[in-house]
Amino acid sequence: MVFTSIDASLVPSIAFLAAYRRPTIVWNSITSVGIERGFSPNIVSTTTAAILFPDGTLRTDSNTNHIDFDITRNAIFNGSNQSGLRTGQSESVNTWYAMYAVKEQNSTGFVLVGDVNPPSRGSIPALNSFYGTNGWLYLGYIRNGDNSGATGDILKFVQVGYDFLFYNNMTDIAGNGGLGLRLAASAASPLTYTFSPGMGVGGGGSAADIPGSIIKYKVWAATGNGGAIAEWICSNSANSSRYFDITCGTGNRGVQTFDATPNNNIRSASGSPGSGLDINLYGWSDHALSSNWSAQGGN
Amino acid sequence: MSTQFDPIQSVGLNPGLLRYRRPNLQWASISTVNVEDQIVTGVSGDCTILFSDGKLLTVNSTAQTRFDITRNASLSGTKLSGLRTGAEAANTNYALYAVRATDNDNTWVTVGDVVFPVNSSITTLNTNFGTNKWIYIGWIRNGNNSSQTTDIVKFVQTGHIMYFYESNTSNIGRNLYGIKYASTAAATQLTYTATFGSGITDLPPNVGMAYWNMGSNQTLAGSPREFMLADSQLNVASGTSPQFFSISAGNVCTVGSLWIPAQQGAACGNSGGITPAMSIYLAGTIDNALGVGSNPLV
Repeated sequence: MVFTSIDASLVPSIAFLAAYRRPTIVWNSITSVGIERGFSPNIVSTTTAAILFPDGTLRTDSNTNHIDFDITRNAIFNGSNQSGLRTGQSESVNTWYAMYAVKEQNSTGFVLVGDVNPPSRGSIPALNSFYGTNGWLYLGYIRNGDNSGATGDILKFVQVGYDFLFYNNMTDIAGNGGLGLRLAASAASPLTYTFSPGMGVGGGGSAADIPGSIIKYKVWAATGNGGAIAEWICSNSANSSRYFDITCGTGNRGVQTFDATPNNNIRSASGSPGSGLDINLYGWSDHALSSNWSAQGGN
Repeated sequence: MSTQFDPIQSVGLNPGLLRYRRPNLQWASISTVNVEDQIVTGVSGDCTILFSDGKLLTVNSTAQTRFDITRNASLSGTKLSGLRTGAEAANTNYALYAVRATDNDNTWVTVGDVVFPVNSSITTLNTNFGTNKWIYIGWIRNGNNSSQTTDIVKFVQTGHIMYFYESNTSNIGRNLYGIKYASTAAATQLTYTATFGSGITDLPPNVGMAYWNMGSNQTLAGSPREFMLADSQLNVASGTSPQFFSISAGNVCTVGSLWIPAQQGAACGNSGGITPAMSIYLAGTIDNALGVGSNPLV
């Protein structure tokens, strides 16, 4: 067996690996997303974020101009560095952005970059070209626009591990409050959402896209206040398997949540849809982030 | 010619690291909790922890690894699991840690504490246990704030997710899962506003998402009404607040469950101004301190 030589300076210490976990991203405002700071015992600071890049190098940064992503500008990582969208992209309505930690190429820190290129296997050559091999690390998706009344705002979210939930307040087809983003709406029954993998409008797709690396997503569906007692069903698109099936009383609205996968297109139907039917996304699990390690804390 | 890098031989990597994952906690009894065994060695009773100085330590001693809430931990001499300090408290959240012994750096015990693993507590934890001498492994709840107040509530932990599976009496005439966080005998709306800590209706501060089991007894309603579940933004009067769940509830009890960001609390309510009994129970959590690990590209 032949062994290649290694640069010891690039090998992270076992002590560091034992304490590291990938930081989560944090909603700051309708135009900004931050990154979790200071949870590692090796970096006991409430202002410093750390990233373990795929070549084993650890980079830290505490400059908010780098580690608070700003969707209204472009990122620079080889000059007067700052966070932002990758060069050539501008903020688009109803669009998903993959968030990456990207090495500064003229310094030792990193910046947060938003990109409509997802961290799928087919995108790795492109991401290596944009950011350099081992120069980037995927952190999670954000969504700009609810496909309803706020199409150009980063939606409020919480990330814990590989799970995400929205907590914004959007408006559904009946004028009621809702969460997340609209996937489909109709005044008539039935209403069907066909899973559409993609990054949304800014990625050349549709407002109702869901990134393809999301393999479990959380849906809420609603029916308006119908004028009669009516059965309300949410099912797969063939109506052969049902998520739920209930009877609503006269004038009563129904809202229900359930988990779905890309293999199950969704259908909502009501015998008395009233002010309309909604199918909406309010959370997801990201398989690109699933794994485990031994961090010592996390807010 | 192809080449290979063998980290085990080249840099002395402990092969146990390649088999390691943080062990889950396992409910054992109303006063004890086990640490998952066999993950690294495959040997019954072997509990392995990777500490933050890189030491991978295996202990095979239930006295040390099985947490016992009825006693205090002993980190030297005859080593015992237990609470760091003080006596078992009712309706209290405890964080569990694997903590290195003070007279033998190659062994550890399980310790319960009301100090939780968040950024602001790391200095305290380092003071209490020693820098790199502790690893958080999960949280437990002592007392369901209803039918019993001093028993460890039954739970299952899988990675960073925990579900309570203890069926608990409630004021709506039906049992609910988990721990009572709020209840009312008669109201149009019941809201739990999130607070964080170890107390009766606190959520552990390292919890990022909470799974709520909420119910209403609409036997006073007389005619079908909507029963709504939501976060603390719920406003049943305006109808413009987010709703996760709303169904037509007749002259019956109605119960539903949903995940909500922990900071958002929980709420339930009824249309039509009716005022039934309602309860909000915590049925599970997702723990940010146990979340995303290493660095796969995709």
